Amino acid sequence: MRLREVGAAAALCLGLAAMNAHADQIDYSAYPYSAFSENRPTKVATTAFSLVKTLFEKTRVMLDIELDQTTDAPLESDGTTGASRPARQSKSSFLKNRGQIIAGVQRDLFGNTEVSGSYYFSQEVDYSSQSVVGGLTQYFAEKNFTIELTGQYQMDSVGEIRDDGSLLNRGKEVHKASLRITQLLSPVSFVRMGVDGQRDHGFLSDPYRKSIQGKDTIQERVPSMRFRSAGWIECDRFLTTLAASWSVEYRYAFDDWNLASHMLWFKFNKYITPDWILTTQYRYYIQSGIDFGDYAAGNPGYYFAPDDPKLKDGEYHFIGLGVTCYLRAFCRNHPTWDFLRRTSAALKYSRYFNDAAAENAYAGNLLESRLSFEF
Amino acid sequence: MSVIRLSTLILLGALSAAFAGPKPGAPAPGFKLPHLLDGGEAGLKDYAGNVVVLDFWASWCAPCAKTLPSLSRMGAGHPGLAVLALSIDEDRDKALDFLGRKEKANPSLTYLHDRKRAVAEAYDLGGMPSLVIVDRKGLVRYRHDGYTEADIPAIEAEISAVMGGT
Amino acid sequence: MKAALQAATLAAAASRTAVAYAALALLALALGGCAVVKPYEREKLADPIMNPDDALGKQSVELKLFSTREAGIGGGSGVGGGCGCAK
Repeated sequence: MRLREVGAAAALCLGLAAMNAHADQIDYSAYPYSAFSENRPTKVATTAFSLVKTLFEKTRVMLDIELDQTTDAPLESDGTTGASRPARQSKSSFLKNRGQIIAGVQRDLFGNTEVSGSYYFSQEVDYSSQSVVGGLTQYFAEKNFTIELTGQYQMDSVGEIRDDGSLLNRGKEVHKASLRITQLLSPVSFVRMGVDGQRDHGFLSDPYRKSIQGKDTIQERVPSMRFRSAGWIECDRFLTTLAASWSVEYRYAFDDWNLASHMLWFKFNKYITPDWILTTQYRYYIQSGIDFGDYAAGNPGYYFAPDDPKLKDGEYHFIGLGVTCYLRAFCRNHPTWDFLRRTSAALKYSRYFNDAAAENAYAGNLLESRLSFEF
Repeated sequence: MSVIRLSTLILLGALSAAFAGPKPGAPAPGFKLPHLLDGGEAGLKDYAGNVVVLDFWASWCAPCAKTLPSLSRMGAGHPGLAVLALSIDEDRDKALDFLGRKEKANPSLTYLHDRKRAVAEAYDLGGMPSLVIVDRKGLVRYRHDGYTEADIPAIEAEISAVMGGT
Repeated sequence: MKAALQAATLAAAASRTAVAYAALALLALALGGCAVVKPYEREKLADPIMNPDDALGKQSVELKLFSTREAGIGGGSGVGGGCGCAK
């Protein structure tokens, strides 16, 4: 996992983070930590702090701070693609830090309408990203039916540290809009569906990604415009007799680079005891490789991106297993610790891998931990 | 059935929500429920002749964490007022864990357990938490479906008015 | 040529119908009764095991990971289906 990709991806996930600070939900502070490693020397450690608090009864504020650190092998062992390697040292191990902050506010208007706004900022030595997100949520029929609209504008500075140490910056913009609806089907089930649309414009290549073709080194080069869309549907159901729940999500995405993908995500969670939850999930993803189509028609042979895994045929699996523990039972037996009765701790291990021949095989391990205090 | 017809039916079902509970001026439905903290039962008839505040809450209701302490102060601030806090949690332990030591120890609140949500259904609650003010004649005078801390001053004024006989 | 076009149109219509029936089947699986769910009936919908990751925004690390290898956009979660609190 490359930091600059994490930074950009984090911005696009902002809509999710903003929407989670919902007026129905609790106030809390949380302390997540995650560690990621791949079947390459790359490792990423992430530590974060989140706070959601209701102020003035109908207004909620959210603050999220995240710090990532990526380490990798010396450059000589990663000489083929050179992705996300700003430093040109060939002998020392690679180390890169990223900082991120999200601040958001959500306000309840007229009881059945909510508006929200968030600002996101991410910074690393050769990449910075800023986003603003606006959202409108409308409830109908005692919140049986919900419509949410979000719009996001993102502005990135894609930097390249050149051999002489100077920094060359290029711009990239993203405009994104999402529509989501939720319908309660029964006291134990609901369905959600939505559509997303996105326009990427500007410098969309990775300036460090080069491919060695014989004696030549060729820079990655992709079109400066991309239109992307997705549609999805999700169903969730609580199983009363089993004290468990399942969730299924299907998503179809496509763009004007002729890349199409399907995603199926299945989750099953179960109470092992009233205070311990077992979480399991399996996710399958498949995508076709790009064909620059109309962009390439006017420039035959100009666009070149053979080594970006996001633009190739790919099939990925994601399996996760975790536990969450609520401290209420402990506090019940130890009244001195009563103030922790709404505290939970979670631990999850996941494996992300593809179906590919040995030279293209990918596998990553993700370990996540989280401590949450509700108040 | 076509997809469009089925989708329309689902939407119409969602949008129709007729109110079936007691409006202000109507008699408050009676009930008898077990105490949440200890043994025994209590019901609305036990408080006949008193002004009664019914508050419906649950451990899964996030705003209830803020309104319950306000309820405690309400009970202490109006001598002679009966404040019944009805939990609609299915699991009694979850309801007990939700309450802090201060709330549990407050003598001006009576915690009852509406486990099967029969009383909640009788009052046809329109939100969570909900609060109903019943006067000395057993009639509903005010109700607040889905109230927040911001509504507490108005509720306090209504209680004073009902207790003052207006 | 005309026969090929007719065949392609029929195939497209059949696949659209198949997708519609698949969506209906998914709905039917989750359907426990097509009724209005009252605010006091939402204990199970507000339970932490109904998508525990979303409740506290835990899913973002996984979504970022997918974004480094996959081109499909978006994240599927949103609000709604919750406790029906405060109206």
